[in-house]
Amino acid sequence: MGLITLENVSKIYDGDVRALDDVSLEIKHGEWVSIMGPSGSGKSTMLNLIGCMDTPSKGVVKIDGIDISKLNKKELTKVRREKIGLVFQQFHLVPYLTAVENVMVAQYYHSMADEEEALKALERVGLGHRANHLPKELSGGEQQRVCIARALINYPKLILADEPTGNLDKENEQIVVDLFEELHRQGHSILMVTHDPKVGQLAQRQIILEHGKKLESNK
Amino acid sequence: MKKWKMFLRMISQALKERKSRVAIVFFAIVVGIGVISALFSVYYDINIKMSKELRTYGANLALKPNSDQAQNLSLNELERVIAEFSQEELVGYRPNLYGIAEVESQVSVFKSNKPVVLVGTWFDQIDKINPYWQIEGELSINHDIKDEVVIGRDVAEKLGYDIGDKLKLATENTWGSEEFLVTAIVETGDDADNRIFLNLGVVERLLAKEGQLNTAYLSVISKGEDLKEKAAKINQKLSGVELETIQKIASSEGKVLDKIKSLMYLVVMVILLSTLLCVSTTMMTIVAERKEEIALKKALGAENQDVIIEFLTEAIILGGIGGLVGYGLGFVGAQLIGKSVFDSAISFRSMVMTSSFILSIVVSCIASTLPVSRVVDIDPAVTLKGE
Repeated sequence: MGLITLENVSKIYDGDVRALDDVSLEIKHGEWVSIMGPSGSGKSTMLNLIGCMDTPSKGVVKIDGIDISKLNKKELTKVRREKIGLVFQQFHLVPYLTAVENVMVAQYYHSMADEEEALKALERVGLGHRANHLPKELSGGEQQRVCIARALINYPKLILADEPTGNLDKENEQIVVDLFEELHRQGHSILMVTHDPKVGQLAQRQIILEHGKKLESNK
Repeated sequence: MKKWKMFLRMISQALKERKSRVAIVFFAIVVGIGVISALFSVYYDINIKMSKELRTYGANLALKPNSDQAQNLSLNELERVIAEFSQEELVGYRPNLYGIAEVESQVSVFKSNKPVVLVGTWFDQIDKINPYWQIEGELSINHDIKDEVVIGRDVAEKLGYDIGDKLKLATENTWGSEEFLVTAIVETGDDADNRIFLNLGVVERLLAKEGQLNTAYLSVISKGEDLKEKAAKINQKLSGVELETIQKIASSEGKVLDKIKSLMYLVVMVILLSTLLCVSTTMMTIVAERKEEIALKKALGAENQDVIIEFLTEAIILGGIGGLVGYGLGFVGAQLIGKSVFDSAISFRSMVMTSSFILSIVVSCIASTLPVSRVVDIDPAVTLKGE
């Protein structure tokens, strides 16, 4: 059984706008998959469904064996909290909390905040020395690395990254890409939405979406 | 780290982050609760303070013999009635024993005697029972002085007496006239201007009515209790006496107090409403400004109630501290009102402090309810995409 399974999934808005149209796919444990496609192709919709922030209009979405299609918001939140680590394009850190506190926030809503463990997560992304800095005192690359540390802290089944290098310069992009490669080597499952073909090619598998349909996959 | 420690860490950092907004909410609560607690502090003292102030209008109770049982009162009966009031309630009481005396006129050539109403009383109680009387000269405070007389303005003018003169009077019970020194002339604006006043003991002797009284007047501070009801209770308890409120004074006291209370309720309602509006609009702005943060927390696994509890805790902290500071300032304000209006301090009441504290928390929670309820509508997928 795959980690993520989409069976004939459609997401229809306002009765006739098909953001996703009969898409099926499976992501296995430890796999790194990139989703690519132009704007409006349904990448974000797919990400929202897999990230338990939305439910499909048709079809079945299974995450680690759980069919989320019929879950209510509270149950979706629980699955997201337990199974998924999120990395955003715009970083999204709590501005008044330090780097280590931002990592601890994810622990706090998951179970129990553990400062020592949060520090280790920051060290893992090379930011141990910046633990007590506020987001505004960190560079874009550093902020994204804090986000990755936050995504990893609760040992999620899947890391869901939405354009993680989209707001970074070349140097920081490389650092973040290296981090994802390392995470993959360590066995993490990664689903990454990206516009950048170079980043997308690093994944084991690329899924191309257009007008809500899955056009091709290299496997 | 314990969960509540992280919770407090997030709350304190969030409050520090928005100092200006927090200051507006805090200031609104401090001012609102300050004014309300000042008004309440004064309100609970106002019955006593106002009643004390209104004592300048004179007695508000009159004691008479129960006409079915006796013609006169006794001093003992007066003392029994007085015992029904505490020292704090009783401003003063003045017994009266009336009679007719013949007073020698200084005006006519033949120095003929004229009939004058004679009143036996205690002079030291005049300023408590009749504080509006204009007194020229001095009133003796000693009940035992036997040779001094106080005369009404009309008596002084009609019979030609002044302070320092000797006044001769006689009653039907005395052999010939007795001489008294005029020590004061009173101008009362009522019948008392046509009377002469002697110490009660002297009049008892002159009229041969030892230990007897016709009436007594009492000036009593009502501590929230209806004076009429209290008088009725005393009448029921003590036979032979009839204690009555002096309607004009007692009812105007009640009316003034009722009007002041109504005005205070109105002011409190207006202040509460304006505080609610101010806190609510500021909280609305805070929630709007923190929309992305709320969406992020929800994306990270926070449930609506987690975020709502965080916001309400911030509101409770602001409300609680604001309420205590507001109460402190309100208490100082109440002292200033007490000093300037009543010339006395306003008592500390822990009940007002506790109520102010609870009220401020309730106000800030109610004011935050609508803004915080918007947390539920924030969709992390939409908000975090910047849409």
